[in-house]
Amino acid sequence: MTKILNFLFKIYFWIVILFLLLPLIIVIPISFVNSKYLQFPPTDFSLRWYINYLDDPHFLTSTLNSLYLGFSSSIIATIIGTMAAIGLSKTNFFGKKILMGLLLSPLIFPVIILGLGLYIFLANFNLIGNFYALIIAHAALVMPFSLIIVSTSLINFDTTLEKAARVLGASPFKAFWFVTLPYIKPAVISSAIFSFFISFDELVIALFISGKIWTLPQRIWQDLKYEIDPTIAAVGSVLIIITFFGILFGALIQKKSRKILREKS
Amino acid sequence: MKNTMHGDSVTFINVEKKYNETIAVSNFNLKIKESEFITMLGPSGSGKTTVLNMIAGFITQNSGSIQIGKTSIHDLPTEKRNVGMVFQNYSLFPHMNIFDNVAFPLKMRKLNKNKISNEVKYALDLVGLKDYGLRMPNELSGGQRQRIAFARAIVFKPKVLLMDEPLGALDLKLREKMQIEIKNYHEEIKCTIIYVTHDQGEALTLSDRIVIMDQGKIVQIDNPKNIYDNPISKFAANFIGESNILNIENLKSNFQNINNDKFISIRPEKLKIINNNHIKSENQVILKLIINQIIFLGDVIKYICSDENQNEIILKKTRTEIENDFYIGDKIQVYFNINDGTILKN
Repeated sequence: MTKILNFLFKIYFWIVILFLLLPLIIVIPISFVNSKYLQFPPTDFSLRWYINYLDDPHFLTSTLNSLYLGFSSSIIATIIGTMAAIGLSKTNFFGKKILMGLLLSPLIFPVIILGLGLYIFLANFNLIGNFYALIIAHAALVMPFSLIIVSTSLINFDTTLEKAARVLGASPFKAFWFVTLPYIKPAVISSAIFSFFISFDELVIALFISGKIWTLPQRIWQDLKYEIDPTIAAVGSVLIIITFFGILFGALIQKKSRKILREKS
Repeated sequence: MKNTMHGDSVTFINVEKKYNETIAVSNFNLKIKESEFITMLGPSGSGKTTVLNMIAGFITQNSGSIQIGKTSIHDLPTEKRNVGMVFQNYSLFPHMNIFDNVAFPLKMRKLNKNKISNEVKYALDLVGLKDYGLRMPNELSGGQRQRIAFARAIVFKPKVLLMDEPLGALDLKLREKMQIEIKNYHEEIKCTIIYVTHDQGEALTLSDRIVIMDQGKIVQIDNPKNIYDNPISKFAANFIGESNILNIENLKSNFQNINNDKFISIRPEKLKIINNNHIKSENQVILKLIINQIIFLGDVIKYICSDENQNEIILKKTRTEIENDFYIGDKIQVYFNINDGTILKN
């Protein structure tokens, strides 16, 4: 009986996996077509849409914009989120949970509401289309991820390690730098990677406030609306590959950090 | 390198520490001598760890002053106090190898590389782990980790070393072995050691003096022998070893009760069984007991008895002392010399 159940669960598992992955995987063969239209299954293979992508200055500019936006907002969000996680882990005060909830609210609010709010707010200061405003908006959007990931790694952090460093001669900053930071480093790096991809992928807020600056998701969105050609599939395939390796790297770092955690017990 | 270290005195003057309204330590006065091995002994919540944390600077007293040597440490941050510390859970830095762990205090003090390397080697050699420099903490056993923690705490030659229940996480056999090692290290490095434990055996084995603490106050300070032989109060008598505490009024003897003291404490091994050729003398107290329980401990046998007033009396005999076996329900007579007992002040 349990054998049959196990078997059914396995089938169910693979159906879910296929359901999640097929739409992604289907893009890859489409990107190699030779025809002018999105075609599946492809009959003729070529690299022309990849060449087209690299030759198209609009696509390239928007890719660079998205990279720049992703890096900047990820760095800002990771620094702020990590600092918030450390601060919150060390203190206990009335309203701590409320503050935590506020800090995490960008995760909970519908992005479209956030986008609308940002649009109205930034319009007041004439900051629609300002790249720095977009960076800060994205940093605010992804900061909760750093906060959550780093906070989780700090739950298991033995605070006597920091005390030990202090009593052995380290100033508060050095104790943080040499003891706490190496401990949370994997969490910090993987949260930076996740933040980068969330910002890199983000469309809704960019649509609201980016003005004349085009990010890559916007560019794809625009193309899908007006002319569907396989360049999008090529761009999509590149994104899938980059994201796959980026997230894999993040996951490997987290796995390594868990190994360090284990040696405590 | 040998005997290059000596300890500093540590002095507490009227120290008090409160957490909100709860008093953790109050009216705390103590002078720890140079190079002394002193143990703070007490149950959890007695304030012994609070005392240690105040020396380390993890917490600050509400009033009173603490001095290391002749310097008040009140305004010194933890890292400037120059005390070593060994923690119960070792607290080795998990991402650094053994060498880097032990070198950490020296790096913080910005010593040059050669000097660091020499000092680390000396410290690792002292604890018998000189070939372990490149291992990671998770590759060592509990006993080895605690030795490394010790090496790390003394590598910068602190004048004062704090040890917070350092053997608490180890099993009994290893604990006894480490006690002897710690005593040897102390002989070697001669720094002042302030050792916190709730294990009375550890305190008796290691210390020059023991400070018994209860509810934030010092109950008794003395060397291990006097602490054991002359406990000052019921608490001290029961906390170190086992004691029979008898109400003096109930004792049928010509005992001179001068100060209206109420209780006398007598150690279980000081009670002697009366046999046929027993000679009575003036300063003996005789107790009539019924054996309720017999506990076989290997080298000794413990008899839990009750006297005529239904007080529990414990009797401990080595097996060579017993001529014939006793059984539960047997009635026996025991006596002790008044001089062997201790009159309790409270």
